[in-house]
Amino acid sequence: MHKPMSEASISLEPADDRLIYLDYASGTPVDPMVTAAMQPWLTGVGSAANASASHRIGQSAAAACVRASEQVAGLVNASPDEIVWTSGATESINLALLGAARFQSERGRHIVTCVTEHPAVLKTCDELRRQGYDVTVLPVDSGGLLSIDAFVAALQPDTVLASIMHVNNETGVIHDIDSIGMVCRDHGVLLHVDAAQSAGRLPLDVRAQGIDLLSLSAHKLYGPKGVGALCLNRQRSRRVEPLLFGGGQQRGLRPGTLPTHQVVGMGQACELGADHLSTEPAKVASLRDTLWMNLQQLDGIQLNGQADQRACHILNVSFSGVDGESLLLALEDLAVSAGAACTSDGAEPSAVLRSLGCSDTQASSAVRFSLGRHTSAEEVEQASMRVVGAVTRLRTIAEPLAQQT
Amino acid sequence: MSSYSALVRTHFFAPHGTGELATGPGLVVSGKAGAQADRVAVAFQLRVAAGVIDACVFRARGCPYVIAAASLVAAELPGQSATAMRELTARLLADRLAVPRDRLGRLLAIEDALRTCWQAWENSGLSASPSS
Repeated sequence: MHKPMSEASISLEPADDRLIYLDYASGTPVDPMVTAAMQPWLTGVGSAANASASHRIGQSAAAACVRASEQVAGLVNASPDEIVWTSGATESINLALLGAARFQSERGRHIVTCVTEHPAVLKTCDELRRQGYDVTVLPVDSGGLLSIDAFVAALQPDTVLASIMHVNNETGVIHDIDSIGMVCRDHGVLLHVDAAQSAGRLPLDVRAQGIDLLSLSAHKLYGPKGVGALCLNRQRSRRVEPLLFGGGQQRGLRPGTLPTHQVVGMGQACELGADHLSTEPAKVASLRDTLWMNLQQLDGIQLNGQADQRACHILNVSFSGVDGESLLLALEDLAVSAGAACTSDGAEPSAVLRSLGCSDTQASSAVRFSLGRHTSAEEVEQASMRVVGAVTRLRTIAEPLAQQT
Repeated sequence: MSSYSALVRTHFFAPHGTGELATGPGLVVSGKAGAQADRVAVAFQLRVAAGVIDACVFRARGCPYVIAAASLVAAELPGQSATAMRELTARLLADRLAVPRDRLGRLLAIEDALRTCWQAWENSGLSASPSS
């Protein structure tokens, strides 16, 4: 019996099985200060308090919610009464797009968005299309950037709304919201910005940036899951039609009993995000750059997204000759994503990367690393070693086939 | 990410028979297959002596099911009659590995590569002689 030369010489078992979390773009750990702020509203009479009730504990809950609105407003330079609490960014986006489009429908029925938007935007636009609206979906260049000239050219006399994300959730690419906001203001078009990935990582100012509607999610900035906010810039005297109907809470824009603990948690998370804004992004960007530098000891890797216009926390890399799903399993003790956690079942290449011009093969071999507040330099070194080891082993199994596909 | 069976995990993390066959007695047949659309590529090398598969190695690029299935083939074919090359189907492998129905198509590359090996064995003229 002739044994294959390399039989049993390849193992994909990680040498160190300690979990390293590098998936901050899909969810961040709840900050202990957030947990502490939520605690009084999760136990005893605090957990029973309804912010709409007139008794003392109800009013106490209402005051806590107002305080939380102030904290969220503080992060984006809005007024507390411009904050509408939702169940998360997906609901905020639905309320912003459906609500604004319906409110503006007498004025026009054209909407502009971008191909790399989150499915919450694109699928809501599909729904608007089914309801008779006209939607223009703009392409991006190979860096994932939207051309301002193309954006201006897409505007029509009946354009009432544009929806452009601040930071792409897969590549980290930053869109030039300041310029887009200025264009929208000049053309009388409402601008909705999905800021789920940028809040707490980049400065946000709905006034200065000309943002009319801003969607936020707590669990992307160290708050709890299940709560988000829509910021409505009332300086532009805009309104949206509600999607839900009920008891009249939140001025009827989003009725339903406020979840005090969630709201307080998101408020605290936003305050912490504002406090950390001057230091944390630079630290995270430095770790991200170290990770990228370490990975470059591998041949055949590609950075996805414009290198010099990315948020601090996301690194998206394609590894040639390797299937992304296999890489993820080989790295199962490294919490990373193939594409976006919101959409990926591991089977299909990322539509975002395909829109940047990546081939199916490049897109399917992509891994998104996302770093955050608790990522350490040691974790980055460990993660780098695990990735280099796993890619090398998978390429060894595939060679020379990898060169042919 | 999918939830993988224990057998998939075993073969994925410690694959059998990766690489190239060393030189030795017997006939070496090889076959490869793959579909760009499925992002799968598989190649097998088998050594056949006296109508019996003596060794099997593979190269594979694809999802964990593809790597695990190729490893399972490389682990189980040695010692079997050469006819096993044509009898091992994607469906049989999928059943053994509990591969989800929507991924079954990816294992077709393995079946195709083994059929190519079988064809090479048949074309060698040695398949008719059990003592070859």
